[in-house]
Amino acid sequence: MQHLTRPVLLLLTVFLLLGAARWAIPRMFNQISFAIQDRTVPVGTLLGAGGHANVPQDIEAWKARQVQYAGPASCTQCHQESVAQWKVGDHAGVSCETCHGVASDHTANETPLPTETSSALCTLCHSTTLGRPSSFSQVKVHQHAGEATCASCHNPHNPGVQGLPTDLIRPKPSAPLVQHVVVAEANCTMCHGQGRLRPYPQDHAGWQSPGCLLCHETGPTPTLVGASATLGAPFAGLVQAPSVPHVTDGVPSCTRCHDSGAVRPFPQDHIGWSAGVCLLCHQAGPAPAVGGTAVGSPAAGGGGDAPRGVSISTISADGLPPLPHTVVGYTQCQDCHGSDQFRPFPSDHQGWEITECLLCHKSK
Amino acid sequence: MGITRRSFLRRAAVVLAGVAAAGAGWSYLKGLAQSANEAPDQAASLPSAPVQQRTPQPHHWAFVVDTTKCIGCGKCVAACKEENNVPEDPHFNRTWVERYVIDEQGEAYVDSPDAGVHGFESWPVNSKYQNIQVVKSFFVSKLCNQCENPPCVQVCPVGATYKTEDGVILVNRSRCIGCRYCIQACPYGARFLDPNLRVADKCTWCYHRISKGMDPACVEVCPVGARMFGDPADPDSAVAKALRENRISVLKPNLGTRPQVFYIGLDQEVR
Repeated sequence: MQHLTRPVLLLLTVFLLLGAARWAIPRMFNQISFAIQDRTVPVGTLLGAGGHANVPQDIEAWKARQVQYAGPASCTQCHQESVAQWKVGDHAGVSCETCHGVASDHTANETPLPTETSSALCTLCHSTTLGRPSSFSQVKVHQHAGEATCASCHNPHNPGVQGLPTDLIRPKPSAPLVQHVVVAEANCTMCHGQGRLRPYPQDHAGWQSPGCLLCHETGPTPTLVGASATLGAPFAGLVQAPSVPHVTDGVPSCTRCHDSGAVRPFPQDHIGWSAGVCLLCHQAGPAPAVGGTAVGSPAAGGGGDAPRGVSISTISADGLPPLPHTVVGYTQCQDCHGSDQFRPFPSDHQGWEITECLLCHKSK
Repeated sequence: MGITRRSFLRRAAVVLAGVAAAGAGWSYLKGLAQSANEAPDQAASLPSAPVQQRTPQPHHWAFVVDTTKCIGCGKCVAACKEENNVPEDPHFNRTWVERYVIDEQGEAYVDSPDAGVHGFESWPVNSKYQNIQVVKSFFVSKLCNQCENPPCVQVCPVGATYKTEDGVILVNRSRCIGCRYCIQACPYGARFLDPNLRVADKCTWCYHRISKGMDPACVEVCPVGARMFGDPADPDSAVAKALRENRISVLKPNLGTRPQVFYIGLDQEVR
């Protein structure tokens, strides 16, 4: 019996010590525990048995965790009015729950979701702070608003200037004055650019024809076309833009001849022009037909023809060659004169149809 | 006296083995019962809202941080704590925001007050910079890099931390013995010992969200789009576009860990 009691007592002592340690150690080192407080460590784990055998099970456990932030899609179902304001405002890129907080309980069970209204929520992003990108909208809160709360002026869903009541929009004292009358319907950025503003347009890229006459006054003789005249007035004299040396009435597109981007004063070549454009500049010749040896009028009794170019003929005030023949009956000027490097008369007859011969060559 | 020392030891070994087997079996059964109990609850409490579904084919996720956009509001840190039940204590974080301030002499100052969870606007946080000629300053948010070659996985003595097929490093909480070896091994300081669960914890890229087609919580709440998440293999995704069109770097590339968190506009001061 003596042989039995000794090991049994030894074993009991060991168990008692282990139990005591298990109770005492987590209490002694509360922050740095041995991780034996709440869990049983299976013997197999300690021995490394099983290895990664339970990884798939663990992945599923991670996947199954509960989602807290429900995502903006779940807000649009009920809060259409707020969402409509939010979508068009400067906060459109900010998720609902960034300000409103976790909403999954609210969306699932319709528990109330209290709205934080203090300015602290706003200043977290918008108070001037070292480290913020300078382009980000930030203010020295006290200078900007005194004791007023942000929400007393700004609509958090649409906080920008366009969301402010008009009587609250204050011009910044440091901002330069507008150098001309402001046309109500005018779009400032069309001339002054977006993003980094430029004081006056440096190039004409992306401009549409009607915009030209906002700055450029029309030529000496006739009148301007309707609305352009009134739009042009506010800018007259304030903008150093050369006046247009020809009538603009009936001209479909300024950029057609003068190009966009770096505007050129007159067309340098004829690339891409269709026949209708030729007569904008080139006057039709005296009827019936003049010029070259064998050039004849395609139309009988040429005296009666009213050349199509007449109504806009005043454009060619700058000494462009008048056409040496009438244009009635001709549809494609480039057929004879080329479209690229313009040639005054057809230099060869390559590629011409037989029907075209008699356009120039008279029959006996 | 029918018992010899030899037979006693033999019987004792058998009894001990039996007790150990019974214990292991019991904890296994308990685990099964627990997971069976929990699963339906969690399924029922999911939000009913439709979530944007990502394509079902296998992914390999990546994360992009645009340091040129970050405003240091700390919403990401707060959202992470809320979403993942990370302790409120600012010493324990799965993600945090650092501010770098570089003065005229090129001296770099780094601060991360309360991990950035309350932002950087308060006076006490900024007073130390009032006499410094600041040349540049910017925010850098940090999180687990979900390395392709993760040192933390390599060192874990019990195989509790592992990499998923889609490239996320997870910790098996029922296996982790809280030895902190992985915390030492992580060159980015991305791991901590959860003071309540007493297991290693770290960013999972919100594995429960991304596997449902949602963005991680920090990406969701970032008001300026400084955090992006997605699959670079999808050319239309925000991360693929960001990786394609920007100058990209990773933290501590010399360590060969091959981080999957990519940074835009990272400065040389950032480690």
